[in-house]
Amino acid sequence: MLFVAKTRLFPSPKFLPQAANLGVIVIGELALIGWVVNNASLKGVYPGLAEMNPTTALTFIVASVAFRLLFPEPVSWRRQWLRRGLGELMAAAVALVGLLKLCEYAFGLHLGIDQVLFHEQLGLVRAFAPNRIGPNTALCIALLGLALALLDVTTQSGQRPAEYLTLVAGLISAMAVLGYAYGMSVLFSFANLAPMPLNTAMALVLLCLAILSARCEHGLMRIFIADSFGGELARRLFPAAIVVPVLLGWLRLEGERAGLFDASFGIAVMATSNIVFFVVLLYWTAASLDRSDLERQQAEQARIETEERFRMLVTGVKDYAIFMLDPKGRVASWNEGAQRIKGYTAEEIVGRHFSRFFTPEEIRDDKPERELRTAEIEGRAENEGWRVRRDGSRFWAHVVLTPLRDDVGKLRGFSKVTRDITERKKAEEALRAAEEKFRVVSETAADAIVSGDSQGNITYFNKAAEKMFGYAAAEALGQPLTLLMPERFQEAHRHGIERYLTTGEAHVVGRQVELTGRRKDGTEFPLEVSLASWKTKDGTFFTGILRDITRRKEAEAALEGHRAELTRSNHELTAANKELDAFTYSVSHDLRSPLRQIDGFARILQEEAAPQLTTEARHCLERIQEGVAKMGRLVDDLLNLGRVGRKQLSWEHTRLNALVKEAITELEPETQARTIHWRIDDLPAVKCDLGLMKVVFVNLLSNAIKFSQQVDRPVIQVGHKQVDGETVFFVRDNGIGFNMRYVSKLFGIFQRLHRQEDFPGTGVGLASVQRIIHKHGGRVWAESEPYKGASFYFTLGQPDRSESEVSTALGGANWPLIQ
Amino acid sequence: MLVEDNPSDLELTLHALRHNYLANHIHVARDGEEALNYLFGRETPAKVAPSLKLVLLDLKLPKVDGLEVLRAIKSDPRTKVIPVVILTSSREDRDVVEGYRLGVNSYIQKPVDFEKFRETVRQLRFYWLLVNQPPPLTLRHTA
Repeated sequence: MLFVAKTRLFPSPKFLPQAANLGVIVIGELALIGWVVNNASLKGVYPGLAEMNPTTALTFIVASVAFRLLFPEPVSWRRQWLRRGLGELMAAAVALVGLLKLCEYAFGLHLGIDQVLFHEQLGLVRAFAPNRIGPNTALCIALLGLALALLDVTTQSGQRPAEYLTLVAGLISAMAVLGYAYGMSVLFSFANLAPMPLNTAMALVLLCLAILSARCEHGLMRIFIADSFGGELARRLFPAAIVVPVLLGWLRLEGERAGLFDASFGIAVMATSNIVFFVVLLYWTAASLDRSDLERQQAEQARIETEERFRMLVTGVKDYAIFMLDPKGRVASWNEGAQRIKGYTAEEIVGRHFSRFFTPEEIRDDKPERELRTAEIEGRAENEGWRVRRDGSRFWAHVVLTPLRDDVGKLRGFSKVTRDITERKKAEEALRAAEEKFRVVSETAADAIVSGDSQGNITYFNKAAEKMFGYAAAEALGQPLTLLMPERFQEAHRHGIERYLTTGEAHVVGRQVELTGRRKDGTEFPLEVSLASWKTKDGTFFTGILRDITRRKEAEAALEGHRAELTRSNHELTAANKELDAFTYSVSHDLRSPLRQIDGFARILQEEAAPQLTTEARHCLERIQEGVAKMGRLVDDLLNLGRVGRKQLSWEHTRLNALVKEAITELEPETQARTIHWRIDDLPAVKCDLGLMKVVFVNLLSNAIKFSQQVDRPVIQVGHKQVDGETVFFVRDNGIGFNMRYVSKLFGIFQRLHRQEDFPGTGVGLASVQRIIHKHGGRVWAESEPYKGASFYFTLGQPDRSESEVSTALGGANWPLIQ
Repeated sequence: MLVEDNPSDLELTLHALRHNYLANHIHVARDGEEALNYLFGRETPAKVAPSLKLVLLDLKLPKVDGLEVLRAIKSDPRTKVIPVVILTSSREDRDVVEGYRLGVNSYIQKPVDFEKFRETVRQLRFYWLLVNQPPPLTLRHTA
């Protein structure tokens, strides 16, 4: 690719040796035929010249056959042993002929090696007849026979002895040819011995050419076929350097001999011609080479630039590790991406085997080698797996391994492209996990989950949906969503989807609506549907979460019934309250009137008819008046109680001590002429209805006063205690108390625990107290034992504890009141 | 003037007033309508109003109730200066509040005890007819 030969000296490197060798055998055979037919032109080149010895001719034939046998490159001795053995044997025979003749000359022996064939015709007269083998011919034959035998021998220093042997033989034979050309016998005959005939010289030159060019790839001849400037130069100049001087010399010699010019002119012409020819040739060659060189440089520059760009591209890539391996799997190049992904610098890793990128398990498994082999055989190996970084951490890699081969298909190494796809792998796994989670969640969901695409076809149908609609998922998938709804709603549904897809206007999407579903068996049921939609590259999808609300609907209907009933009874209650109100008002106004009437007229009777009345009658009138008074009190108390029930609380910040003081003042009529020991603790200020709280204290204190009037030293205490963060107020006396057996009746209206004669009262007071405390959200309770006093407790907070618990915490009814 | 529908109450009230030497110049109306007729009948307001020193008004009356009568008296410039005392069995807060809102001069609940009732009437007479200084008669005419 880099060195393009401009010219080819020969069509094929095999042409010259074979052609030359053919020439050798032709010359040999012609000479031999000449001897057979006794033709001087065939034996020599033309009559008068020395003739080729028949042995020489035979030797040429043998040498040519030997060359033919040895010419193919030696590949395997085992396969070629016969051919090469035969060839080398024949070469050795050729050399032997030459050597034997040389021995004759050297040692004065007469072996008659050149007289074996055509003995009679050669003649015996002259021992050194010109048709014998001359010493120069014998030397050449010996040298070339050896050269053939050593054709493929290379010394340790890379020299090929065959070439040097051939060159020597070539020089001698070429000189002989020149001698014939210039008519100078000294060049082809040596010391009056047999000369080298012209055809022999030519055959020798051809054989030299054949031998030299036979292994032109390796030896000295390599330069002639080299695809380089040197080769170009050799091919252009060598022929000229040989042919031109010879030709010019011949012309000069012939010119001088013909007397056309003298020697000095001849020399001058020859030198000038030489100069002119070589200047022109050199200039032409130089120009041509210069042109080639320029092109070559440009090509080289372009190549360097391309390579540089390519190298920069590869080394600059950061997201991919791109590097090369040699055929054995050792790292040969490294880029920035490789450094970033794998953590090795180029210096650290180049030359190391690539198996260190694999996990120990895979190395044990021989994975690296298998990967190389796969790539080599299949032309590519692509896989994903864990790879190891320099610091030992692992990453999930995508790897492509490609073998690199040269022009003749020889494996030169591998390119490896590795990508860190850990994040993608993680994302994929996260996605898989999310999908799994969705699957588990949706499959275990109690609600039906159904998805549909923009065509309105079902794409997902969970277990609950199967149960709810009676279709198996396999039946439902791909079917239109309208399968799940009564026919009368299907058209609206299709319109809804169409509208949503074209305008994005959502009536149902993103909301919760109640719809009607249809089961496989055709039955209908109410549904609550939450619908969501999302878009992907495949279009818009809908997912509905559906809940069968049959039960809820029933419950709602029942609830609605209850509510209506409640409203009705509420109305009734309001009406009853109004009636009660009117009733109380009537009582207040109308019940008093007759009482006043009775009392008034009884009094008038008593005053105006007193003289006529007996003692008995007066007593009767008194009893009437007492009854009226009592009835009046009852009516008043009853009205008070009613008023308490109806009154709206007005919460005020109230100082209870002041309130108690007011109550005591109000009760003064009852305490007159009695000594009561008041023990009033410091009470906290609380939020309550001032007026109603006063009623509470008046009632409780009035009770305490009333029921302690028979005690020698009446003590009444008002106090409070914190019990578990709750303030409990109490009013306590040391009076006659009551039996706890009747405590349940204590706060009931008109309920009394004592006889009227002993303790007067209407039985409304404590009922009022309880009503007021309850209105405040508090509790009231009492504890007592007969003749040991009574304690009344109340709170104003939210009741969250039982009464007995609290009173136990306070020390019970026996809490010592009087020290 | 005494406005009272209940005959017993009427008799007892008159008895109490008589007991306190006050029965001489008492005009009795037995219901609201009668009271209004007396006050606002033909030619009467100019003649009657100036001579009225006190109106004792029961609330629960047939036809037109006491509060209506009160409103009529207190919204007419000729009669609004006449002192009106509500004397009733009711002690309901709404009656009390409504009475004062309409401009009653005093609100008294009739005690059940006749002795106390008599005492109350005595105090009423003493206060409104002797202690209290009524507006001059001329002013009543021009009002």
